[in-house]
Amino acid sequence: MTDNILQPKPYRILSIYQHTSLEWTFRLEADTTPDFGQFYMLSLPKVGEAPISASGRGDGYVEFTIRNTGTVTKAIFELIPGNYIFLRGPYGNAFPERDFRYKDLVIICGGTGMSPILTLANHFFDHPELCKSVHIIAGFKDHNAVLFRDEIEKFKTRFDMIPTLDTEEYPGFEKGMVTVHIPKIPIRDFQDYNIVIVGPPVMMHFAALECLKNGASEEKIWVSFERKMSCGVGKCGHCKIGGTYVCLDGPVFNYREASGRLID
Amino acid sequence: MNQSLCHFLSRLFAQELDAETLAKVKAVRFPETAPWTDAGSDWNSAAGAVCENDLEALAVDYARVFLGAGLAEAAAAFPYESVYTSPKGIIMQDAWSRMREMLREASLVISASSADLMEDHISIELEYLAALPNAAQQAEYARLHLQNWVPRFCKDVERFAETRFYKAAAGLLRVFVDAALEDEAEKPVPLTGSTVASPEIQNTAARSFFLTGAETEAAFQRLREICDIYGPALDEKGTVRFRKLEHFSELVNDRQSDFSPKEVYYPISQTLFRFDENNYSTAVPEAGKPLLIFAHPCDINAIRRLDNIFLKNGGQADLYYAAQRSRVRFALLECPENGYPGCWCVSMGTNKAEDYVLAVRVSADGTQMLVRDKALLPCFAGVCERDYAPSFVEQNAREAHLPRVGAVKSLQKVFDLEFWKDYNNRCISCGGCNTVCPTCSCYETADYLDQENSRRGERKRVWASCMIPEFTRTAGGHVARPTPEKLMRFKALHKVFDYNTRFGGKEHMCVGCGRCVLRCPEEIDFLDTVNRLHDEVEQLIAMQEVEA
Repeated sequence: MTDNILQPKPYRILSIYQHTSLEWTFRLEADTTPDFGQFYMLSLPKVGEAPISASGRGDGYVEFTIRNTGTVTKAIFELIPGNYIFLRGPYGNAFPERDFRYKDLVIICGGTGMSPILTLANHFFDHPELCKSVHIIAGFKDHNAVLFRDEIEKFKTRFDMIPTLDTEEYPGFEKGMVTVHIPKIPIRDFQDYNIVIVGPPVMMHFAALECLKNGASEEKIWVSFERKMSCGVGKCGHCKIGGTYVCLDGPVFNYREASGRLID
Repeated sequence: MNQSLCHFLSRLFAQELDAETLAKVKAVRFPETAPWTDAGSDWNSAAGAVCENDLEALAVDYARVFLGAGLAEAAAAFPYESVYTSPKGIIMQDAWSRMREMLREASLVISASSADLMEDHISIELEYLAALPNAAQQAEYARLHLQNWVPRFCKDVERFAETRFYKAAAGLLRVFVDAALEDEAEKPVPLTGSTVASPEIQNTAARSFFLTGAETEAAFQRLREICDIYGPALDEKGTVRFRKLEHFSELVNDRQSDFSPKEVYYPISQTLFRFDENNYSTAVPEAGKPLLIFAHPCDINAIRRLDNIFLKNGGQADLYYAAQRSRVRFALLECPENGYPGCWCVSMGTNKAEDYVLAVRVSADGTQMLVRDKALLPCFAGVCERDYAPSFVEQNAREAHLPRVGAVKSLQKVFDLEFWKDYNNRCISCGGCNTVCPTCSCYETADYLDQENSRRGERKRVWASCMIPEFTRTAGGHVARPTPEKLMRFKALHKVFDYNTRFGGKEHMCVGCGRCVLRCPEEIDFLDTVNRLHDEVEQLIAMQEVEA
């Protein structure tokens, strides 16, 4: 009679898109719509369960961009369209899209950190009237690690889009860490703005510091955390940082709040 | 208010009809005048028509409508206030918490014979109503806890029940809650001298006994017939753990148990789902007799911490925990005068407990027991009554000084304290402290394959330890807290600071049982950690004041 909040349900794979050998996007037929930056618990029988951010959404489908790195994701990479992946969710809070409207938006992401921001970026791409300007810095290790090439090309047509490779010169890309490119964004000239940073913890840390150095205020910066989770609903305890449950109170946090309180 | 009618209605919804209740049902007739009118006439014709042969069909209807047996949930009427008042429509939500609190405040407990009913079940709420001393309180209670949901519940019953009988019973209940509460006192009452056993909640001003050794064992054996009894006992390795007891003499009461009772209601390993390649089916936790657990006050208080995590955190209840939890009853085991040498319960406010149905003091010449649940009284038939009330530890040998972490303006400063680094040389990250802790609740899940059919298997959850670096390792390899220093800081602050902050500031997660100290192979004393943190934090606060 109590709902089983841990019950996963099967969703059919509609298509699979391979960005790199390690990172593929799975489109699932789904009756669920994630808010910007929310995640689901993905599950396969015999393998296990893992939290994955939704990278795309649309009429009747939801997408997940997955890096083949853990046991669950490895098994997911053996699936083909027509197979099923089990889901529960969506979980967590979201980027406050309403507060982002009619302002300048800066998105700084690294590697697979691009996938949680994609629904948000696509939303403003589709509704340019809702945003004053969009600046994206997307960093990858090298050209083999680049994700969402099509999206990047698409964003170039409407956004200030800076794709960059950490250490490699490559046509169509800047060179250097994301932090190198932050000074190019006229943060000080913005009247009102928001900055979204998603990526590995070290990258988020230094990108935020660089933004502050370039005139950003703490409360204008938003970060999204990736944590180990076994439940996604505030029971298993793995994602806790102090008294904060990333699955319930996050994954999106305001930087001012995160920097003072969310310490490991 | 008509007390016997209240009990009668309570009984109708508490469980399936039995022969005794059926006889009563057939005898009860209602006036077909206001306020009863249609409801009265529906009842009279439906109740008049039921006979012994209908009992099975009625039981099936009862299970379908009130227990949701064999139905999609939308087509049932779950008789819980929470279901009708929580945003998600599920059990064990705010209304349940409030009812629990109210029962506790009124010193009322649900008897073991009705142990499967939760506190906000319609039957328990009606019993609570009947127990209120005056009309004003009854009206106020009905307004807040019955009129807010019972009309909708009754409508659902009328919609989903297949038998006329339960439709009619719902009609009666609706009129009773809506209109008949106040004016019933003056009207001719349709029910008198009900002898039908309704679910019981009893006043805890209960009876106490003195039992010789033989009588204790005899009473224990009678208790075993109605409850599964657990308590601290030696296992084959000489460890004291909470095990199912067969004899009272197995109970170990001269030292703190090595493990806490949480393994009784939150198993070390628990199957969540059985799966094949196409489906996960919930491994429904077994229903069964009440679990009567002999435990000290620290452990009785510890369960509230687990309740907060599993039933409340995130606003949704964990089905598996909830099922097991609803069976738990405590037998309070008195502590030695100042507790065991290693505890600090008084500092944590966990030295006294209220949530128990039985209290026990064991002494050389016999056992004293206080029985607060009428359903248990038959187990004490023929035993000599003697006044007894449990006494509680008022002072421990050890004392905790709770750190005022919240008073430090910069949490970072607390994190940067030098002494945390000591643990890098001392703690070996074995996780033993988490395992013995009565309030550690973290778990992880893993899938296990069926040995005989590799397409099938089980998803289990097992206890997890936050003192092990793997606890935070993501698939990508990032470990948020890799060193003993960070791990210890996380655990310590959780136990004496951030749980308290998150759950209303009333209690800390740590209950001061001292088991982690006994367990640690490196002789790390958690109380020393807490007290050291307290001293360091006081210094930070003093410096803060100087700077200001």
